[in-house]
Amino acid sequence: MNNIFKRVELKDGIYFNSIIEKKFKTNRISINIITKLDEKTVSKNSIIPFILEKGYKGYDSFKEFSIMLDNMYGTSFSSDVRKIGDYQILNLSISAIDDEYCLEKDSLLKSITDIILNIMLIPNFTNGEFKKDILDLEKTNLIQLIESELNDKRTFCINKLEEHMYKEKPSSINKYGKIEDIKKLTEKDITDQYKKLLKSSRIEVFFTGCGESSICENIIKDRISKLERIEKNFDLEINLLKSNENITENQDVFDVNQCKMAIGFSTDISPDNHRIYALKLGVTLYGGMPFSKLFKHVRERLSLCYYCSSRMDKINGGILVDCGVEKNNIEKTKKEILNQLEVMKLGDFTEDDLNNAKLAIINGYKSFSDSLSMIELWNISQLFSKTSNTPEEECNYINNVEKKDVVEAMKTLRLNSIYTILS
Amino acid sequence: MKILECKQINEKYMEIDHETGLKILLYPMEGYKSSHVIFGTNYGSIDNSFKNKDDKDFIEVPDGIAHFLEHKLFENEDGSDVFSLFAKTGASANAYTSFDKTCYLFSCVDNLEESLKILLSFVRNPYFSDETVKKEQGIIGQEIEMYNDNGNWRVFFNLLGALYHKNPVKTDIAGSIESISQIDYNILYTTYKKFYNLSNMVLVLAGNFNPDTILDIVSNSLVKDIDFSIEKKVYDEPESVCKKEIEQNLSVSIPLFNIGYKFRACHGKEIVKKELMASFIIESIASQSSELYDKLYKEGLINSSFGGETITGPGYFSIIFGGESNTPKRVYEELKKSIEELKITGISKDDFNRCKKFFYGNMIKKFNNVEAVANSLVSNYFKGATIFDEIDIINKLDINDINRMIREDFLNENSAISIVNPIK
Repeated sequence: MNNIFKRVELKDGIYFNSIIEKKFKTNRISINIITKLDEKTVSKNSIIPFILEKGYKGYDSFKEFSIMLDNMYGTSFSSDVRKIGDYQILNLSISAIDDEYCLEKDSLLKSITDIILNIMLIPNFTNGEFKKDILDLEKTNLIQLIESELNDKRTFCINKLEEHMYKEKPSSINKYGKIEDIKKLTEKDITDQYKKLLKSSRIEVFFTGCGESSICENIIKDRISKLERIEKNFDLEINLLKSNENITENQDVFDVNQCKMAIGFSTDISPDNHRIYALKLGVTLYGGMPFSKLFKHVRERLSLCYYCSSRMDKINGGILVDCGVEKNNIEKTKKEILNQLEVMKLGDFTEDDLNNAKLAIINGYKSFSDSLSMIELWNISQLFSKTSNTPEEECNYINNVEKKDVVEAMKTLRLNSIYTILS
Repeated sequence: MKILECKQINEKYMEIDHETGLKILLYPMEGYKSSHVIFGTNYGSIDNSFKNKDDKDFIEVPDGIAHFLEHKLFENEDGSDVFSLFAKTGASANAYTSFDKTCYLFSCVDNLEESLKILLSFVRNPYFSDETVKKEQGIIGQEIEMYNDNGNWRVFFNLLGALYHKNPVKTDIAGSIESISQIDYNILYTTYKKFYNLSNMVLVLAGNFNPDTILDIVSNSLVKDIDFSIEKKVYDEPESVCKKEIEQNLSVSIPLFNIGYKFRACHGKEIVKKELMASFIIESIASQSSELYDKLYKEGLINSSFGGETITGPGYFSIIFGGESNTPKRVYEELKKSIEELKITGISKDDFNRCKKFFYGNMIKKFNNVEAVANSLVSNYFKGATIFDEIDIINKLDINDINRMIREDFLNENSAISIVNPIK
């Protein structure tokens, strides 16, 4: 990327990353609190960003907080929980137009830095704990959020597959936690957990935008340096899915018109291994693009599905295929999906096909620098992959892959699990 | 060539009336590596009855035909598909059909010229046969089934069915399995010829490109079309709603709801102004900054999925509030009460100024993104407006106009609720 990238450690395990791109008209600050997925803590953790978002000391009304953001030219604040590999990421982010575009002489950049830090560091406690009424409300909302995963059957199907496929790994845990555990949460539980997270989590702060990142960095450095940290190893570990001797097949029946199927494979290629680029190309040729094997054969030739595609979860070492299909065609579709994988392993694709896949991936990588959120995602993905490549560097690696490398990479795929939603 | 400028935010783009009849909008964006290109026609799912100057009567076509055409244009006469051509350039191509337009698009970093030639060629060279139409009926059938299982999709279309008596906006964009079974290649050709006339189309580019090169490619790729004329059937849509309530059971975890308010439809640039005024109303009554949201959220009647949007186009204009709730009808009652109160008090000056800043900021954010700019250029063009009109409208907006809209058009009697309940 032709941008200015800077990364500094502010305090033990707390990093500030800034990527300045002058072409943008906005600035974004994002704080990622990263912790290992664990059944015991996942539910306590996941509710924290949603509670923090509801206000901070001196701003205890969510409505007043929202009004303030609206008046700051529609500054947007969001909180969410993500999952990458075996880690849970609690994310807080704020985004505003650059000071140059304000109608009056405002300093939004300084204000948004203060706001996101206030939210993270000075919550609205009563008697030293999070407030019960807010906790109760957010417990209900979080439970509804987990339950509503059922509403989108495509995502639900993939989540269920991952749950079965990664069952021996922390990444099988739902990023929002368990409903029964959420119900039991007390103010003390989450207050203790919040304090623990600030002391012992790896924290990655990202500034992306056109503004003066030093304004943001100095404020953050000043306030973060006051945080008490426990000495520990903040390294992120890679833990690949092990290949499965016995393929697991699971299914659930729902009142639906269209059945869904997700098929999972394992690979032993680690994200920091150079063979990952050959695998990326292989998965793209298999089902990542509208000219891939799955699109051409399962959709276009056999008219079995509207969508049928593959993707790679490189941090977990998993490859997933998913499709929507009529009940009568499930077996036929499964057979063809597996057949097309064998075709890939036999190297039944042309140099032209390979070049097309290279062009498609490179096109995607090169365009990342045109989006603030993609710039951040790229850099986070590098952290979890234990690499520090730019998109341009990875474009070169992709370009250097040969057909035989792709065939070898695809040969590492082992069928692991199948999950089906039946009507 | 006309240069359109917005001095307030220091942005500009080019508008060209090409000799072929095609309108071209070119928006170079400095510093960006990618480009987003859209070739669109002013023809969508609601245009199911039409005639041109040679036709005596209106031609009625099956529901879902605009979307079916969109799928079929991706197939070439030699049996190859368009994606295999884009594969050689690395561009990421796609298409979509909405109520009032069909757009073919790609985004790319390299090989823009080659990809543009492919885009212009495949959209202008249709090929349909009995065999390929049959194959597509299977694929689109699966797409329709997928949407039939989608609670958010169903709650929305059920609401439109309740709000509108006649306007085809009430019908699913993809049609139904039954309606698409009536489509054959003759109907596809007839419809294509009526609407895919360059004088009814627009080409938009935003991002990294050289305008002269683009114009050369267009001049070398396209030839002038026969004169264009089309008359779309205008539906005599009553102001009242068709049904006050509609419910469906689906496999969902919590009831989903859409509450719709039907407004008088408007045309052209007026749509952009009214749409923005409606957005001010939504922001002041249902956003996280509103009294109503605060109350409903604290009482546990809504969760963070609650929000509002406007649905506008030729012959239809509605405000729709949606979300998840165990008691959607109570949310509806509370909303009605708030609207009645708002009719008396009107939007406060503070709220009005807050909304002004909010929408101004959101508009600036749009210019960060090549895809957002291209999409906005297309949708504004088909409404008879430009991408900068919204900023101009915000600057000149009068609080009295909004309060008049609330009093005269935001009527509880012209509202309906759609609920998708979990299957017990």
